[in-house]
Amino acid sequence: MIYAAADARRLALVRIWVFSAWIVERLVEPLAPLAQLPVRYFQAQGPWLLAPAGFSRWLLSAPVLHSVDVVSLGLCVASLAGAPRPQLWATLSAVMLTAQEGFVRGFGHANHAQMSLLYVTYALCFAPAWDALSLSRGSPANPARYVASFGELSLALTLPYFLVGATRLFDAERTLFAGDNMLGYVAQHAFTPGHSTFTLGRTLLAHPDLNPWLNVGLVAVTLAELCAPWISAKRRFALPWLMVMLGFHCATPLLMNIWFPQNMLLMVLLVAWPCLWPRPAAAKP
Amino acid sequence: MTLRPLSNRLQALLSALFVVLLTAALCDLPAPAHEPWHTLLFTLTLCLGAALALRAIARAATGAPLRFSPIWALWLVLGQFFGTRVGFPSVRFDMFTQPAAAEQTHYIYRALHASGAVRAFEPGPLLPTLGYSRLVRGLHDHMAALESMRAQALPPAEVAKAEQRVREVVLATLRIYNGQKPADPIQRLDVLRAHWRSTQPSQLDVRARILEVALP
Repeated sequence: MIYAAADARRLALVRIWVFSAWIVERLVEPLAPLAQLPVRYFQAQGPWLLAPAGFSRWLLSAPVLHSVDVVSLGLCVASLAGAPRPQLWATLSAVMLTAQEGFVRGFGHANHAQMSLLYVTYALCFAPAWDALSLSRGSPANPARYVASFGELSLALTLPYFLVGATRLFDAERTLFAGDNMLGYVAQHAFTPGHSTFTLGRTLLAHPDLNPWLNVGLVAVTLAELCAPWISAKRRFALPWLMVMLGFHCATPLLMNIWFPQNMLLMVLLVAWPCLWPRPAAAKP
Repeated sequence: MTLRPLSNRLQALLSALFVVLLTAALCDLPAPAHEPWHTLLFTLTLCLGAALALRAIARAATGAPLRFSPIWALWLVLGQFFGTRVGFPSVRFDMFTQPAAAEQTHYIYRALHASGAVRAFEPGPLLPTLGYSRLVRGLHDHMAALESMRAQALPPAEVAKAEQRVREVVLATLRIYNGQKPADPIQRLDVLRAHWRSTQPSQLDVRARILEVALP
């Protein structure tokens, strides 16, 4: 298993990275500007369906949203630093971040951006991630628990990929992998500039003869998605998987303005980095 | 999460059942929404199967039990059933599973600025918190709903109400833009419907103006 050399320090570094990512996320994309949108535009999702009527009207004001941002940042900093009772702070952070992500999705469709990061945060709440590099250190756990925790973090990232691949394979029409379908996907997004000004998608639409390569790419990505939960078993599984999936995540912003940087960084953190760890010496009989 | 020991054979049986049920669920075979008792039974079996399958894998791979993954795996599977709106934060993972339409409708925005310049307006980058696509797609859905209502010959008051809602959102978007770029604010925005066909993939065919919104 690629996590055989997992230890308290390495798990703590994952914790620091994950909560740092959330802090950057909240600083770069605060909720307060959403107060400029009309309340009627908000359609409750998930936990917000339980909120009483009129709550969203109260919530959708700049001072309240600004306060939510500040509290959320504080919880993430406490979780990152490992303030006393760190798992409590981490759990509260996870609840707060879930509410915030659900709130943002009330202003449109619920896509998968940030979801992997959120799932990894949930998994951290169950892991001994505060046994090192923390203000309040717990007693060292059984070394097998660090390995298992890395396994859980990895599943938090890879199981959604498996579900996508399985759904595509079992539930979708076979024509998905042939014909002009990929051109249609590119066209859905390529005419709308996103964070970047890449126009490669439009260039590609002018060369439909390249379409078969896109179909081959979709088949390769689907196979990689189906293999995702098992990649942590061996390095020789993990490296080809990384090449396909990182290639996919690099291609989608160029062609379709779909950009999931958190997933790419989680792949580096939970798959590429462990592959570089020295293998532990075999136990002597 | 701790579970009582079960025989390896029973674990293997339940794990296999889980895989079969997961596959069936992904194929929409049991149609769980129509039979509540069926849903309950199905869910309980999935829960047990997922927990045991993951527990067995974890024990074999690491020697330590998984504390989070069994519950979480169940939650993800339930999200596939109940959909994103109810199930969030378990969302439906179905990217690139529906065939893309060979003919697509796009809405494009043309802004008249105070300087007299007419430029394309891109709402996506205005609110980074929403990501570029959430606002764009939200506006697209509003425009499509408005056009659909107009086509159905619904009572004029109902259509006017829907149009008012769309105008509210577009106006809010324009105010955000003007707040961010006060040097040359937008005074009027035209919303145009354009069509894309896979037979002519490199171009959008602009057809009609469907809405005109002027800032008061």
